[in-house]
Amino acid sequence: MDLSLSGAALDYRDELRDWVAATLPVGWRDVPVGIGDDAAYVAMRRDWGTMLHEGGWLAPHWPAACGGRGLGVDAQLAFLDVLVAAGAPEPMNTNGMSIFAPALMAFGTDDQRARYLGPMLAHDDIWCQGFSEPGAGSDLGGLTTRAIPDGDGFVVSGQKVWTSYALFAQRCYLMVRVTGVPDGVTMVVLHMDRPGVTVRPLRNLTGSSEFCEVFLDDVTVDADDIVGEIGDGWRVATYALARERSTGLAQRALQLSRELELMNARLHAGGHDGAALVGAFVRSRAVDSTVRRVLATIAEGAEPGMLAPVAKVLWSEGHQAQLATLVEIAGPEVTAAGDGWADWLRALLFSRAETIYGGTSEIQRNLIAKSLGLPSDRG
Amino acid sequence: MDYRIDDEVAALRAALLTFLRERMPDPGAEPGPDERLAAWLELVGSEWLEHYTTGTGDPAERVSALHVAEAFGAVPVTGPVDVVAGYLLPLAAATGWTAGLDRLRDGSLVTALVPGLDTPGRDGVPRRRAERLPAVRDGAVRVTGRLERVPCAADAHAVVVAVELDGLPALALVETERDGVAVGAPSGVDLRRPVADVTFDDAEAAAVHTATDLVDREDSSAAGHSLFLDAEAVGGGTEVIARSVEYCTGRVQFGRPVGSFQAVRHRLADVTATVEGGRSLAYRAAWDLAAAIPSAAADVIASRLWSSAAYLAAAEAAVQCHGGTGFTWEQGVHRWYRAAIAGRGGADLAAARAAVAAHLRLLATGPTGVRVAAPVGAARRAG
Repeated sequence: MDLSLSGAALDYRDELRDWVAATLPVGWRDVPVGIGDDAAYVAMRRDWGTMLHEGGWLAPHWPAACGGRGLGVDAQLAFLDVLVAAGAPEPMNTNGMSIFAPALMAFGTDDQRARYLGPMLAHDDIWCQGFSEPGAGSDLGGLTTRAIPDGDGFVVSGQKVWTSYALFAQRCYLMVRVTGVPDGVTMVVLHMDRPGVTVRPLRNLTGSSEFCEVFLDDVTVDADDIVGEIGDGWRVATYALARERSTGLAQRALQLSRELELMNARLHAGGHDGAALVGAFVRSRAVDSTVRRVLATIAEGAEPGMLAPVAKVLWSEGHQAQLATLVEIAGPEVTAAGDGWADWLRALLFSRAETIYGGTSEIQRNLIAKSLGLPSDRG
Repeated sequence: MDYRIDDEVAALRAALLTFLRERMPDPGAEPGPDERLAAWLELVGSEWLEHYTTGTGDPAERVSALHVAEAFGAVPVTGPVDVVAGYLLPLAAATGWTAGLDRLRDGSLVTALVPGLDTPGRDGVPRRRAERLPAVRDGAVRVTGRLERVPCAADAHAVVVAVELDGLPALALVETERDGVAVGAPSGVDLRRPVADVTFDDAEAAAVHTATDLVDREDSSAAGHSLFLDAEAVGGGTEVIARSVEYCTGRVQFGRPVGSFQAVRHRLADVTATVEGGRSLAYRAAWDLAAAIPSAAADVIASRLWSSAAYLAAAEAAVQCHGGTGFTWEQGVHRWYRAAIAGRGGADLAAARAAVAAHLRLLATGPTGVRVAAPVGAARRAG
């Protein structure tokens, strides 16, 4: 048991902290996580990603050959801690870096790693995720996007939905079903600028439109853009999704504590009674500690198992409850979106997505129940 | 970084579980006083509680101690285990109270009131302060006053009392058979640790101890006791969930195991998440406390609030998921439910919430002035 950072991670953290203090533009601090669909917001997150990459700070836990520093997962925790404490935005490619990149490292070819990881870190390519379909949400098994073999590659047709930031993405890691192959579910890289790709923004609960529908109409996918083997898609996706539930949500989960600090300061400054935040504070400490526990578990090379869905449930439901307290404490000001509360209100509205994406709370509970050894509900 | 529990520590906990299951009487069977005292003598003689006397300075050892302490939640044991292992032994060791240590080790059943949370001061740092009874020197040291709701007092040979003597804080060990000591009738929901009021009327102390840093040591030992209770809560919560899984796997209704119904699966998953959150926070608070990280003081309180609620939620789910047999005594779930609700009641929620609120005020304004309340969304975005 060792919950402290290694010397290498501490050195990295101290250097990064100085760099962020000197580099992060003041106007980029404490912009709410995961909201906003406009070009300026995306450009900020993209530029920040580029700046971090040029400073050599991104993905310190990746092997040097893949563009990282070859440090432990504790360095990634240090990275998140520094960024969160500084109120820095999430780099735009967080999704690709935390979910797809590990899968590419595990299942991809050297050529694919060389081709995609560098531009991903540099934020030259923005990545989106093509999993969900109108008929395949929680049950990805229903996916119907077809990849028809054509020469060495495929021609792909179908529809993806709830694809975050597809409008701004150059690449998509896409789940398709290869025709003529039993269990032909396969992961491929889709180039978003290919003919036949149509992206339509979907307006969401917050009123913004970073979620999109992606229509694929005879889009070509090259043979060397298959990740893993044909028919290996479930294994690759399961691996990627496990990462989403562990390292992927770490920044947002740590952000929850930072957000509580800001809420607390703001409510006190406004003369509100912070005692109403006691429950949220207690919850934030449990969430924060659980996410660190997940990272420490991964750092030792172990699988987080049940802890990953536990962390997802605690974080997503905790975040919703935390933001909901704003309405309890400063109700009319918040719901009227006045006096600087508009972004808080949007964060509150956006939090409803957090128990849906990345596996709904119901799916997470199914995973926990399965780990407990309860009998299957499928008879 | 790693989250591994050493093989040695895991083996220790497994051995403790076996010992407690095999040798300790079931509180649900309402063992009589002689049986309870014999069990206590065996528990003390086994030196399992000694584990908590030392090793609190090293963060990893501190977490390991909590891991082992979960066994005391998994197996309900009669006697003031938490008071002795979680508070008195560490306090006596830290303040060099040899006579107190001897008494705690000789098989006597010694109990005490663990100091409760004090009203937060201006610095917002939570502290635990004992209510001190007056003591005078009259040949011997004599104590007068009343302690309410002392755990296991009806079985106790002696009570360690926080006193004020010669204008200074001190500890007095008072034997319950002495003249001037009256112990009330035991009561309370927790079958393991019924409480009783103890009245001292010029009662002679068998031993007295003081140390220059006694009050601070009481504070830190009481924080350790709080974490010990968290470990018991996490251990108890895990145990009732495991029992519920087992019961719901075997219990068939509508032609299928009730544990296959999503309503049951999700309720047990839900309390699992809550209990695991408690484990994460308790271990983290223990580590940070030993590593002298400033946020640890508030985290210890947060941990008590969370773990006590998590245990109760798990015990409630367990009663529900056992159906009628959860309500009757036959499955024994009531033992944990009663411990859980006693733990929640004993968590002194009002004081704990006041302490966290004071901590939040401190975070908002800072000790040196008003902090700028940086609004989220300071950056203006187009569109």
